Amino acid sequence: MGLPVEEEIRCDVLVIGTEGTGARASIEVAEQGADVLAVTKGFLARSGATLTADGEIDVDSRSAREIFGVEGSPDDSPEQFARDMIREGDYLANQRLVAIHTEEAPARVKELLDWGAHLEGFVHAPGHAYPRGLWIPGLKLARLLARRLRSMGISVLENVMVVDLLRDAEGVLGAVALHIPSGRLLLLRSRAVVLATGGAMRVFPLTTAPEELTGDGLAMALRCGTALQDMEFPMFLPYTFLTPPVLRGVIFPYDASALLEVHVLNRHGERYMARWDPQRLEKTTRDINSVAAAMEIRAGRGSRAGGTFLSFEHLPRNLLEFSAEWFPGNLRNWRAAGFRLRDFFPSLDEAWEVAPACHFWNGGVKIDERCQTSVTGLFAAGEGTAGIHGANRLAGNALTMTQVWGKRAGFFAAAFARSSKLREPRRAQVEEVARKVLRLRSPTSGPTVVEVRQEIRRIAGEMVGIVREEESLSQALAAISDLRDQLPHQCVQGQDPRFNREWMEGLQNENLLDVLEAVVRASLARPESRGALYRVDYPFTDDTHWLCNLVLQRHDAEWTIREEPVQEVYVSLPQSRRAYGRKGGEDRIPR
Amino acid sequence: MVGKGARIVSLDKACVVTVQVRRGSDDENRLVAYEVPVEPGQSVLGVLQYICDYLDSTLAFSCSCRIGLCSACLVRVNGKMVRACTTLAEGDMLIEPYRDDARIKDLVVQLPPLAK
Repeated sequence: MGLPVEEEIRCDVLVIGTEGTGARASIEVAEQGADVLAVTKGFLARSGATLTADGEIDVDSRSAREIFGVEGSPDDSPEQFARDMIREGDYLANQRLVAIHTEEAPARVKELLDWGAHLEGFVHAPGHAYPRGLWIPGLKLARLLARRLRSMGISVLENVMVVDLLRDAEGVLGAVALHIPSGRLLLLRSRAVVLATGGAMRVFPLTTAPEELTGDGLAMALRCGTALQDMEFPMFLPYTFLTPPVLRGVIFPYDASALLEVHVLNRHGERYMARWDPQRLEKTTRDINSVAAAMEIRAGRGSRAGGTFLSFEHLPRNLLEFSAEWFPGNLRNWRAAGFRLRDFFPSLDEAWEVAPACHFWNGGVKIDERCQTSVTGLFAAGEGTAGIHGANRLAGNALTMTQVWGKRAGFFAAAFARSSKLREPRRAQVEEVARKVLRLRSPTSGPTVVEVRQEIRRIAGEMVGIVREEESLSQALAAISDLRDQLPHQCVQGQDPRFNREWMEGLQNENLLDVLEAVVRASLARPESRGALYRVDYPFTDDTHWLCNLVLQRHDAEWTIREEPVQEVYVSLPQSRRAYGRKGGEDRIPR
Repeated sequence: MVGKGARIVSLDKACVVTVQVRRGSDDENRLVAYEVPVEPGQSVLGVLQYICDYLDSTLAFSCSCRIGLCSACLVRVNGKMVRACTTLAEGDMLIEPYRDDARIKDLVVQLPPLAK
């Protein structure tokens, strides 16, 4: 064919991403009898966000009780779970998608248990009216799904980074990918594509997310004309370690705040959450906790390292002998992921220095009930799709999302593939994508890929951040524009094609920059504060004007932003101007 | 500090350590030395990231979760197999791929499929 690619692989459905969502989608495609190829930038079950999940997978409390035999409340229901999601997502969720989510969740978790998963606990996290968190550690879930992929004989390609999607007037027809170990370019041709690539949390300097979460799927969707939605709502986890360096971004302090009684203090010892949510205090949702922490730090009341203080001082010392039992399963005995916290903090006498870290992507690719995006043949599911969580995600609902929506994406993509044909990609488009890789192989005098990545994170940290305002957002937009001019001239030191991290970084930098620009533009276009977005210059929630989703598209360099009103289907929408964080129901002291 | 925590105070102020990294792939094998500033409580992964960011961006290593779960960053430090992300940088060190067969490049090794 004479294309600048070294190998061509054909399949019915290409699934990009192999962890919670991608694995579940691939399993479903195979069960529907279609030929699936799953590709991952990292190693199967050794990359991605799923394995980092501490363990909750949410279902309504009544189903948890009836199906799984835990101590759930018979008063809960999928409808009540949906109401909580809609309220705590500050009313921006797509109510039809939420209803599907809570309705299908029990069957999806039941399936996991049938496949060999074990429940290790059942927890009640903040924001939920009832306990809903069935405890299955993400690492075990990822490995279970990987074994199932293998046992079903599903083709998985590891260390393959998709560079861009290919499309024609009809829709998506495949992708060009970089095989990282060899440096070879692959042409992947398929009848349908499922994006299961997760969020872009690594655009921010402090994040809980693994290495791979650089917004690749979001950016390549944007570049092929796909609509994104709710991009102003990257989610932050309020309490992650700041020190020592080895623990930066570890989320255990948040787990402690959710599962125990903790006090979060500013440098004056004030329990400042009383000014934000006097009833729930630290037990309010994560969006409000993060915004409050960021505002304390901004006001100069934070710690030296730029955080706040999480204290156990109110707990009588003779309770501490029982502290090993305070956490479920994998967290027992003060184990935080691969760390023994007692090595670092032998007593609880001193407060922990903690800070909000970017943890999840509430918005992303706009999808309908069938996971169809705005581009024909392109499906998307899991983190990095919009509409399920609205402006804020409830704890434990990310793993649920992977299973409910992974399966749906697989089902509908397989159905679509049955009725469509493999189409020939346009040579010019393949060449254009290949050129991005080839450019990194040519000597230039521009900034290094490392310098570009550092600059992107600096813009995200200093000018975008957790709490935002017009002036700094506008500066961010100008800085992004400058950096975009530099992108084609990024320089790399090494030209060995094998496992060239610089090439990956160079490609990821474009993705990070595209996503960051979407965040900035969406944040500027919403002059109010809601969920995970806090505008210092508009510190109130305005339901009369802003109960809408912002839908972004880019054609060539032109961005369009459309306001789509939220549809009231099951839960009535508020119609007021209210203090930020007052999500309906509870009274709030005005600040 | 008690127990294993003592490791963290063994290095109580920032200093410069010599890090030797076994680089190359099947057809080549060489030790490259770097001088790396290390602060207390910094991980071996932090050292590798520092080398990449400030000294030599051609170094290949792999990592993912950075919190001791995924095992993508397995390496040998002074002969002992560890996760780079949860191991503290405690002084001069030799960093090698955790196994010599199935090496892709430098510290990156083709990970075997997961056991049942």
